[in-house]
Amino acid sequence: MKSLAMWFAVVALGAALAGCGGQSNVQPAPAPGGATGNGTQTSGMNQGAQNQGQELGSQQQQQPQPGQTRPQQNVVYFGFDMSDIKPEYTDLLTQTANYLVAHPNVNVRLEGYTDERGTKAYNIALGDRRAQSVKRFLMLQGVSADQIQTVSYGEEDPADPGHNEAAWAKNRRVVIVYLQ
Amino acid sequence: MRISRKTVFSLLLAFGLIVLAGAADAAIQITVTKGAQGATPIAIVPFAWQGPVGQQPNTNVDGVVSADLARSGRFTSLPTDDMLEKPSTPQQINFANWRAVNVNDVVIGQIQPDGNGGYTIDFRLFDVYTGRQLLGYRLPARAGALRQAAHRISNMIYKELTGERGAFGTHIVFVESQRSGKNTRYSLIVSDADGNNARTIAVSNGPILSPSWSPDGTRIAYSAFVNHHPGIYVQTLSTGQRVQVLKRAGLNSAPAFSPDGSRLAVVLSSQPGNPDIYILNLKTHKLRQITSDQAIETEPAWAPDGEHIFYTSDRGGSAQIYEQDLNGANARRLTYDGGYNARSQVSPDGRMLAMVHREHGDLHIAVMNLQTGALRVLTDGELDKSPSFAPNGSMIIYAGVFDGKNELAAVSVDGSVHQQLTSEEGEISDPAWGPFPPSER
Repeated sequence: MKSLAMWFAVVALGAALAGCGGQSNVQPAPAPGGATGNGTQTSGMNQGAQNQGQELGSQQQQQPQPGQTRPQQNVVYFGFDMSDIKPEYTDLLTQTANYLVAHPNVNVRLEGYTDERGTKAYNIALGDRRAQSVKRFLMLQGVSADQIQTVSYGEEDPADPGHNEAAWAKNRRVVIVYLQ
Repeated sequence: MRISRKTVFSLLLAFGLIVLAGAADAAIQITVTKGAQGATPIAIVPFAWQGPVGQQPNTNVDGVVSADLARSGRFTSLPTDDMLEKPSTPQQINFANWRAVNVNDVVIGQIQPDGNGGYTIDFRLFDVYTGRQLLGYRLPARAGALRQAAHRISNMIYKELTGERGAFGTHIVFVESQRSGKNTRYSLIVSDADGNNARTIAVSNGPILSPSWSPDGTRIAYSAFVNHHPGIYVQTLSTGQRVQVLKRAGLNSAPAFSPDGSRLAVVLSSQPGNPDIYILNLKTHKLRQITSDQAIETEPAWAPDGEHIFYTSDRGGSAQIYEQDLNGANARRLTYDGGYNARSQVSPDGRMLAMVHREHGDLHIAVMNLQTGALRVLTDGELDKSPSFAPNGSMIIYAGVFDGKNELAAVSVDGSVHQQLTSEEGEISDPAWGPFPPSER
């Protein structure tokens, strides 16, 4: 009963997000993201159902619920000098949010990173913006602020130490680290 | 049982950020990649040892002087093999022999034991064409301080021949990172300006960033990550004592000592995702916010008068350099040339601003004349950053990627002299050039 209420709350928040983006029209990316988020909600639910089907088989005929499984992916990538969430990551982040809403005792650390094409301290600030951007997205989907820590490493600890476009694309990221 | 330093490091690293005193390591090689047009040819004759045979000091004093002058890019030193004579007293000099090998100036010298375990060095500088002695000094040197004495000699020769103060006896600090698998070890290293006497002063398994010298050269402030949280630390070089001066929620970034050493300009998050510049009084621990824009404000740099702050802000849509009074008033944008200008540093005379300037996607070091606003690009690398002025204002040390590796380089403020500083060990970045040592102030 409680999780059903929460599911409705998440859908309502997702709708609010979509509406918000639509109204302000300032950030085009989050608006489609929000909309896709709602769609994903359903697909997330289906995935959950599939997982349950595999894991539990016919043991139990349970109503599928969102957010039961922890998403496999935990990295979101960004455009050069950008901190807005790309539409292709709204599914992942919505699933992440669902999981965190369903597991209020699980905390995450959002680690913001950048490529090396900027100054070090500016990149610390840019990485922080990216982490905050992901945090805001998760909170709009109902995740409690208490569950989220953020840190920015800027260009330090690159995922790929190369000095080329392919490496830079891998380094402009926020890594979601589950603390439990 | 012998425990290697590596083992000790890995044991200590389990606890995060470690302070080290006196561990010598990581020699840096400096080569001049491009000298000034018309560099002055000079000959530094090997100094004659006046003490008992076989008891010569290990330090090659004339060799250090010769390398110092050559490294400045303003001189070319004659190889000793090309010298037709090796005089050590004025009477022994035959100036025709020096005119024949086309040097303008010749330096001779003698070293003798002082009877107390130290040395006395005599040196003289002559103009080859007039035969006139331009300089002649006797200076004492403790055992183990011969390199410093050699740098003093280089400073005197440099000043006499160029009119400018030499910075050969100064120090630099930089960050070395060594990646092994998923882990990276960060070391904060202080060395002589010529790369010698490198010693690791702190190691961490989290990033160390933005070292900044106190104006008296006794302390270094930096940002370091411990347990996934950044803090601002101030470390005293002589004792190794480290104090965590700030660890606020959010960013703790880019510390910069005020010209009087009493305060730090730092970057903290006034709200999540909104970095602003604050002034921390190191005595009272009072913190004052001096920018309050919604945009990124970072990389504070003090004007030499201590009354103005330069910083990077993207409040106009792209990262640019701004200047404002310390009390927050009179903020104005300084850079309009290009889509990204950041990490400024003021020259010691307050007339120039060095910065990172983006052009066609590449980062270069540029200097701006603060009176005219004219910007001049000095380097042509792809990722040149973290410029820092030598205390005499002659050179700018910076970090870049050379042959795929993070290394340091230096360029003269007129762009004519280029040096490369290479480390045999890890990747090095984030250099800061220290002030003149107390003996030269």
